[in-house]
Amino acid sequence: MSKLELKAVSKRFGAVEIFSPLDLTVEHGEFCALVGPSGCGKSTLLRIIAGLEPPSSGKVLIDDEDVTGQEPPDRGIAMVFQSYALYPHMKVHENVGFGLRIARRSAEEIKSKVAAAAQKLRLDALLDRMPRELSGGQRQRVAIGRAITRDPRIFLLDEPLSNLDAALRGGMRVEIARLRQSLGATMIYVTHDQVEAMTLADRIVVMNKGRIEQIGAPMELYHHPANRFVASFIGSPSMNFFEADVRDGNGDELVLRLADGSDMVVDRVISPVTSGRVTLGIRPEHVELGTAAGTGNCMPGTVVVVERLGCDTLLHIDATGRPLVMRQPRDLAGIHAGERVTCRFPAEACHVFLN
Amino acid sequence: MRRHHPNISRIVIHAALFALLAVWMIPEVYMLSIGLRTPDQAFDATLMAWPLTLDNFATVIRDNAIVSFFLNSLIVTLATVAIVVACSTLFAFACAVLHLRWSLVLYATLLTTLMVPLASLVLPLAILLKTFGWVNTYAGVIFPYAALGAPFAVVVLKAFMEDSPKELFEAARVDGCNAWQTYWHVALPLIRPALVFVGIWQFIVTWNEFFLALIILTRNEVKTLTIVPMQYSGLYMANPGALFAVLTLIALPLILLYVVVQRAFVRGLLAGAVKG
Amino acid sequence: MPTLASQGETIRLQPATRRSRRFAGPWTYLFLAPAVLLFVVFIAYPIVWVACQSFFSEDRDHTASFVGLETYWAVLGDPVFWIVVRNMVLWGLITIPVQMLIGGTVAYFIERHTNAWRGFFRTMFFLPVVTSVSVISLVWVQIYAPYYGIGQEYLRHFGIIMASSPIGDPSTAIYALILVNIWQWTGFSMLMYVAGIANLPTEVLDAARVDGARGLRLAWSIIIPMLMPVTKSLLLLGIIGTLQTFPVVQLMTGGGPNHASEVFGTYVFRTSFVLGDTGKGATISVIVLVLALILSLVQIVYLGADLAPSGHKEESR
Ligand SMILES: Nc1ncnc2c1ncn2[C@@H]1O[C@H](COP(=O)(O)OP(=O)(O)OP(=O)(O)O)[C@@H](O)[C@H]1O
Ligand SMILES: [Mg+2]
Repeated sequence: MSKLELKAVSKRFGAVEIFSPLDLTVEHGEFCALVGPSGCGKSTLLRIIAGLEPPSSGKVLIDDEDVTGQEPPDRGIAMVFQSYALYPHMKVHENVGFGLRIARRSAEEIKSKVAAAAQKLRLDALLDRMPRELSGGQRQRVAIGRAITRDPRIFLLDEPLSNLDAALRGGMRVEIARLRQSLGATMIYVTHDQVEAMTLADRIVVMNKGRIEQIGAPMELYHHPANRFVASFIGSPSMNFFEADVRDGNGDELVLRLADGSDMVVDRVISPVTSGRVTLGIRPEHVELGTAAGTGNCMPGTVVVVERLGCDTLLHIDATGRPLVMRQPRDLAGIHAGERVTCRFPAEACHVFLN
Repeated sequence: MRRHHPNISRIVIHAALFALLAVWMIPEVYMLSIGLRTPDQAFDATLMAWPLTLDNFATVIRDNAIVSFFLNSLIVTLATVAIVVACSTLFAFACAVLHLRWSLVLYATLLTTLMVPLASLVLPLAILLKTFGWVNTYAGVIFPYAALGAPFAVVVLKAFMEDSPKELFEAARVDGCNAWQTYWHVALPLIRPALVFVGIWQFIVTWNEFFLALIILTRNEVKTLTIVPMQYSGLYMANPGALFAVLTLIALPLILLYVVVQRAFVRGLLAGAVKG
Repeated sequence: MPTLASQGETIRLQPATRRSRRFAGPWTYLFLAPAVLLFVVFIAYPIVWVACQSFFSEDRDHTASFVGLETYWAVLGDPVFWIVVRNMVLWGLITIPVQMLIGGTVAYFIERHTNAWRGFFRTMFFLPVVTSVSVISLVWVQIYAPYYGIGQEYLRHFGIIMASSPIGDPSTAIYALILVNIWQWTGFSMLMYVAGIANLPTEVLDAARVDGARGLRLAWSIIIPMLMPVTKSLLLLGIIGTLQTFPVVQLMTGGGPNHASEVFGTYVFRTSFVLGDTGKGATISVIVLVLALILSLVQIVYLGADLAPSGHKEESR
């Protein structure tokens, strides 16, 4: 259980700046997910925290101690790599106990710690196998086992589940949540997968192009995205966006005019906008299927594709030239491609972003 | 691996390969065959002559100190292989994993050695070794051999290390290894196929090296197997049977060794020990 | 760190009491040391020495006098030098392509058309490479021998009568030696191609087969182009090997008859160690060295250094 702080950390490779100075605090025992598109610098940030990569400027603090120049083991961190990075020539128990062996711990201590880790991760039966004789999920568990034997202050996990198939990923997600509860350690978890981030994390850090776009609890990001990037990144399918002009920003409500000339009335609590060009956003699950045209906040459209997911139905709609996706928690048996529908945007569900 | 191949073409191809191999093996068979002849057949212009006799082998083993030459070869070769393997793995590790500043410049410099023909080095080496007092010593050939062999080994091993996942080395670092421990516990086991390949190749090259050995090893006590056939060709001028028995004995150790290790050698080669 | 609580202080003491740890401090330069040491002492120093020496001439009383490029002109004016150059060019031009052709063909059939016998063929064709070169030389002297050698005996069946040993005839000696060299080293080319063929991505071959490429067509338009890297490495190694040629020639002809089969190795050996002319020996050494460097640079510029991936290519520009 430890607290991690990054103070004005920046990184450049040669002339290429990967991130401009950024600050981040991860509290004791917190599970923090780092999400963002590929190449935005998540792994690099994690490697800076681990001490595998020196920051170009700034400081890394663990429990208020400046660890910027220290080696990974001295920082008390453990890392699980995306590719697992199991030593191919060592058996599972040697892999798990290698860090202790290097630290010259006694044979008994290594043995008991390896056994404890194995039990926690249900690896007991696999201890004498070589890594190549394991399945993907088992390798993943060994990689985690290797991390927990070191009793780290902070766990760093770099896309630990991305090499697994969908079913296994679901199982391992539960496993990590369980492990997290039993260890109570501070964890920093890099992922592409917003479902992992939403379900596992206490807090999510959304990164883009080396900047932190927003930090917040999963539901906070979902309900109150700070900007268009976060809004589009969190939630699936992604939020619908429309360009709009502010027509009237004086009342309790905001009146926006869309490109097709229709007006939308939006709760103004959401965003303090008074004039100019903005982007209107609404999540597919918040769009309502209207019947009568003409009642306010409606947009007519033609159904292009119907996707029935079982519990939900996704409608891909051509709304006078612009795509719109809506998600309905019904099977909508009566609706087929080609049908004309009316979509209603509830005022309280709309988001407004400055351009 | 091969599927649906017409049997006829398979047979034809095998027959052709065996035929070519038969021609290819004529010198080897001829060597063995002369060694197995009686004195009055020794000059027959045939590939095989019957009956076979082991007398020549008995004679030359009784009369000569082949074993001591063999030991000399073994000492020189093993020492060279050990030095080459040690130096080149350390160097390759520093380049490929530690990315030490200037290591690539040193690497490029070292590479030019690949192209240096021994012919242009023997003269200065001979003089250098004379000033060291290393003429007619094992060290006098071991170190030059190692210096000449290391660049190729470095090229092979560096490429192999660069192809290994770098997360393994990082994992070792997170596990608390310093550079030396990473080298010893992770890098060396990881590149084992390439290491075996390099070791065997260096063994073959060193065992068969002739030029420098000829110049540096002039006393019988230190001579290696490769340079002794000359003196036997004078000694057994009139008795080819004995000469070729000696030659067979000289050639045999390395051939046998290769047959034993060829599987590991080819495996290293297939594992991409040599690029392209 | 301006604001450190007292608790923070105690924690900060920890690393100092721990064994101080550096993954890669300056001491890691020791990793480079052994190889560099070997290189400097046994390669670089001799090269520098020989380069300096080539500008001096040593007299009977062991006093060296500076003669500038004089020895170079002497060597270039020596007709034997030009025989050597011709022989080396012949050597390279014949051995390298022939070895590639035979080795590549054999490798192709071994890898693509045999199964149970694959290991056997791979090993057997490689045996000449591991047979001691001095043994090989004496065996071939015997094969080439007039009257009792099997070479002339077999050729007689084809209507070719050899009156003398081919290595005793100035016009054929070099070709006879080239044949021995080809015989010895083809197995090496074969094994390199074997590795190349075995490592061809099966997807590409399958895709080509789906496209209708089969047999020779597949070999010609897919396999040969994809083996280009091996061919390039073999070319580089072949040129190096050509310049290294020595034992076969020294043992079979000694460069004779009348210098007809002289190569750089024997030329240097004779000049430096038999005739004891250090200045001229050094000069020849330098010429060979420069030639080797030029050849390999030309090759790297035109073909890229495939033996040496990535880093080397940038350095050699
Ligand atoms: N050693 C390096 N030298 C130069 N650029 C690098 C280096 N390592 C990473 N980069 C660059 O830094 C950027 C961030 O890389 P990073 O690996 O952190 O991305 P990521 O967010 O982890 O992406 P992914 O989700 O695909 O893993 C990339 O544009 C990458 O090209
Ligand atoms: Mg990454």
